[in-house]
Amino acid sequence: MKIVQVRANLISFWLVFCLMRVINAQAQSLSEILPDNTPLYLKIDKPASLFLDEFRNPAVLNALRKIPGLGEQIDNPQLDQVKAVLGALGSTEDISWTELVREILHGPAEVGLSASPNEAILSVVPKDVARLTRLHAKLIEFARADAMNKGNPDPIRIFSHAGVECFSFTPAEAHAIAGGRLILASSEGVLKEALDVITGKKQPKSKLSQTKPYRDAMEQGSASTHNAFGFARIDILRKAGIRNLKPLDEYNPLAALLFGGWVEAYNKAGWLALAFDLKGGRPALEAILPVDEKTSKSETRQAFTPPAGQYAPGKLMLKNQIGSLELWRDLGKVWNIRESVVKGPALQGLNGLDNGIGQFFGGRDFGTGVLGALRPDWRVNVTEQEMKTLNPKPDLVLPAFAITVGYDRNDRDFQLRWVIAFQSLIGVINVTGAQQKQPVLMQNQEEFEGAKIYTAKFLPPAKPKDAKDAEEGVHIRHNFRPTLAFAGDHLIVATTTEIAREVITALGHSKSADLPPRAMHLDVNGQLLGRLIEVNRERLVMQNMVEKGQGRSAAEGEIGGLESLVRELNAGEISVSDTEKLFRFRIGFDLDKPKK
Amino acid sequence: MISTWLEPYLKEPRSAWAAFEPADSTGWNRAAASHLYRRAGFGATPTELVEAVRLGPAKSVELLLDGSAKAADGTSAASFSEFADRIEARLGPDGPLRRIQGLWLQRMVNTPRPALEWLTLFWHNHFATSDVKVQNTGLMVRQIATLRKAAMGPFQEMLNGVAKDPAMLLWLDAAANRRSRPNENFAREVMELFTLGRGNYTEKDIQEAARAYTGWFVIRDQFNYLEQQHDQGQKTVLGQTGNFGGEDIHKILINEPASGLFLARKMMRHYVSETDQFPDDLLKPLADDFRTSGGSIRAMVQTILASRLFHDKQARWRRVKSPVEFIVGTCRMLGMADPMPSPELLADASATMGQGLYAPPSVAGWEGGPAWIDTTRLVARTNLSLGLCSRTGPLAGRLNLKKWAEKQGGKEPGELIDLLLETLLADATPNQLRAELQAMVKSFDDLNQAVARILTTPAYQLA
Repeated sequence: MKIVQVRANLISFWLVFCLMRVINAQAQSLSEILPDNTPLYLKIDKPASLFLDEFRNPAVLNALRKIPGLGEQIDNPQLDQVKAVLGALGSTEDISWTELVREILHGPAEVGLSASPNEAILSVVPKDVARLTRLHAKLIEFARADAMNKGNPDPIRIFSHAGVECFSFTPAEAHAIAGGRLILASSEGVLKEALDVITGKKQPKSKLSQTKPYRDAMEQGSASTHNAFGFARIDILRKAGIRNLKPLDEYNPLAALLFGGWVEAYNKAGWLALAFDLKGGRPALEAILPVDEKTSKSETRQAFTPPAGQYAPGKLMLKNQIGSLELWRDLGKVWNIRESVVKGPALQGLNGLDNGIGQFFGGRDFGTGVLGALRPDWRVNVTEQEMKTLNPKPDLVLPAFAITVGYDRNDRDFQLRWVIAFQSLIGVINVTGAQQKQPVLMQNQEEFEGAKIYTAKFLPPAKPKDAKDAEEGVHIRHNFRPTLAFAGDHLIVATTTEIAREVITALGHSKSADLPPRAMHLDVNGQLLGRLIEVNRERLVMQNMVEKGQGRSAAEGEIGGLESLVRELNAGEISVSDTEKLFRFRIGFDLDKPKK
Repeated sequence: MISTWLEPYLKEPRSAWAAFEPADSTGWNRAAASHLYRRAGFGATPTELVEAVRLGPAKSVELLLDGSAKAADGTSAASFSEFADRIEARLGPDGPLRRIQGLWLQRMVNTPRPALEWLTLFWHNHFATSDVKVQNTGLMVRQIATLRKAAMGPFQEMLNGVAKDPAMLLWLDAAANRRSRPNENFAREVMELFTLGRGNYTEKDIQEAARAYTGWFVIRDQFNYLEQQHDQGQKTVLGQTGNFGGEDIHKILINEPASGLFLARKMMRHYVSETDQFPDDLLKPLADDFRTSGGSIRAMVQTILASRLFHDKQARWRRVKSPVEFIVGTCRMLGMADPMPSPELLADASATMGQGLYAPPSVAGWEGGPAWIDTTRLVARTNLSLGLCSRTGPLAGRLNLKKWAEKQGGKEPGELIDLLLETLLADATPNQLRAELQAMVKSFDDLNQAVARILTTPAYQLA
């Protein structure tokens, strides 16, 4: 009896042990198998759901179809052939092709890539390993029958490793079903190494999952909450000579002054995490870069990173707003460290500007007296110009822009300095314009909702006697009615008086939307941007033709495609969170948002 | 000194202008058709050559002057023209010069009426006006539109249009012509450069004609006639007296025998030869017909293009291709139309080669002829040719000889050499070059190099 009891216990113990091994094998992530120096790793938790549900959302498909080159791929007849093959394979198990995909790509799916040598390994966990094994056997059978019918040799090479049956169609592919998953590798050697770890034949010397960068990336990126999550070791890839990842040394000086701190974060980062989502027709991509202690203390990062508790200002909601940008940027500080972010002739140009431009502002130093007097809360608003305000209508209708920034109201001659600068600028334009027989600007001044507005407007041109009203627009300059305004403790510089008035009203009524704390936030209304393209379509077609040499129909197709694409992308936003330790960049679209 | 090939025609000048009637198929073949298209329409594609040979010389001339029903981009001629006019008009006064240059090059390459553009280019050189001084691309585009519209019509309409063209008046410092101080600039140029030529009028004629143009102003880029500024008195111009206005002066000028001769000589430079001297006796029948036809430009052009003199084999390969002719012809003949290389880059190349559209060097226009070829300009032509045939670079990627071959019935690379030479060099192909290219070309990949070789030969610089 005792013996029976002991045997039963032993059997139970053995069963539990085996079950544990299976469970362990199924739970083992590819990151447990890949070595610690793996530079690229991607994980999709539920691949079937991502490809069959999220990507097939009509709003997503419509947007993808509008991307040049991709639309043809989506509607490629070859895809139907693939579906037919999958259907035939699925019918052996009485399931449809979509059910077959859901079975095989149940998930998670993981990919590891090495840069030198170029090797790749893919691991997919199916819903039912037994069914996968049957389907795989059927696939092999189909392939062999097809080869035989065509008089070709057996296309499959079968070999065994670590007690697992392995298969290879070409020297650049080898696969096996082991540890409750399908393993597909770019070579026999890579497959064998993976099988050694999966079957417990060998213990790995190091694991990707145990490295600090990987663990940090997983944690900071909340990897498990996204549709797909990627991890890249930038340091390793740069050493391997990947040219596209080279640090950015020289770039546009304006971009350097606005985004130099972000570039610094990228240049010094050891890794990059990428999170992708496509839930409910809202594609979004987030990039995360670490900032180490040394980098965070650099002069550049100190000037660009908002101190704790400071963020970009709230968003102003204007009528017909094409887009808006809210940014935290202490330009006075940035100007003072310009030598660190701008180089060569551009730096000389900025130094020349530093010497001369202060004269326009009552002889103040540009860094401290002009930029230093501004607060770091910047807003840029872009709106569609109303046609009724455009009289005459310019040939190319541009949107209206307004830049709004706070200033210290205790700086008593702040307004005066800016008014002098504005009038001086208009004066220079007028003198130059008169010399070149160009129209000049008429100045004016008004009060609007308690705010002072200084405006300028071009004299409308004479209308040609033979002009066709609907076709011949006037010069592009008639888009501009340069305006300077002061509303409370905000300075507004705008391309039109109308948008300046709108900003004043929005500031007065606190018509701003609450945003999560960010260093920068930008959003774009694809519908209005599309309308802007539509209004200027012929001009853009002409530009395309004369610059690229395309014919009319090709140019019209390209511009039409661009218009459709921005309309389909609908509502887009970019945000940046920039702290001492981490830099996050996120771009997202809401394809399903009501289109207006 | 009269060229020897012209001497037979001098004995009986009318015979020079009689319609060319080929005695047999050797008189009207692809080489002859190629000559017609080179001189009047920038060059012909192989398909156009086949069609021209089928039609015969007279009908080919008519087809060229009337134009095809469809443009290279597949649109109808009317739609092509309407769209091209509309986008040019959209540029406004401050558009970049290279943009309007590029747009015109694009039109020349794709137009279903190449002969019209070739003639418009002639008028651009005749009424040479430069944006460098006018500084208004909108006005320049309007001037070319005026020239295009009147290019084949009665010369009187052309003169009336040009005389009221704001760009022309600004160019000649004639934007204000007051009764109290008549501006003689325009009156002088209209006689010297546009109608009669030096020696056919007096200073008094200029002064009197200037009075007829009084009251003509350009105000805010528009032509205006201010009646109170017009001199209402009697004027005597070239022996005729009356209370003339500007348009009356044009009528008088066109009825002068010298004007027909003047225009015929310039047309002959454009269509036949810039180096040969054409004596008055030879041109007189053309001038007479011009006057009796009421100054019909089309009639004069048609007579020249259909004439025995024009189709004389000695008349071939006597002109140096202008940069615009070189660029447009190369694009048209090799099917680089839709898409074509960047028109703006081609405009830059044309300027480097000495011919910036909308920017002739002076009121006399471009010197032309051998002046197109000097060391610098020849290097620029070579660079352009290599750029067009290269696999990389800003001008690359538009020369698709495989597609071109498909249009010709899918020929093999070896056969294509003959077709390329027939299209680009016709009867001027050196035998040595043919042998060299046959040895060079083994596959389609070698064809670009072969085309570059052809484009850089001395023969291809001629038309």
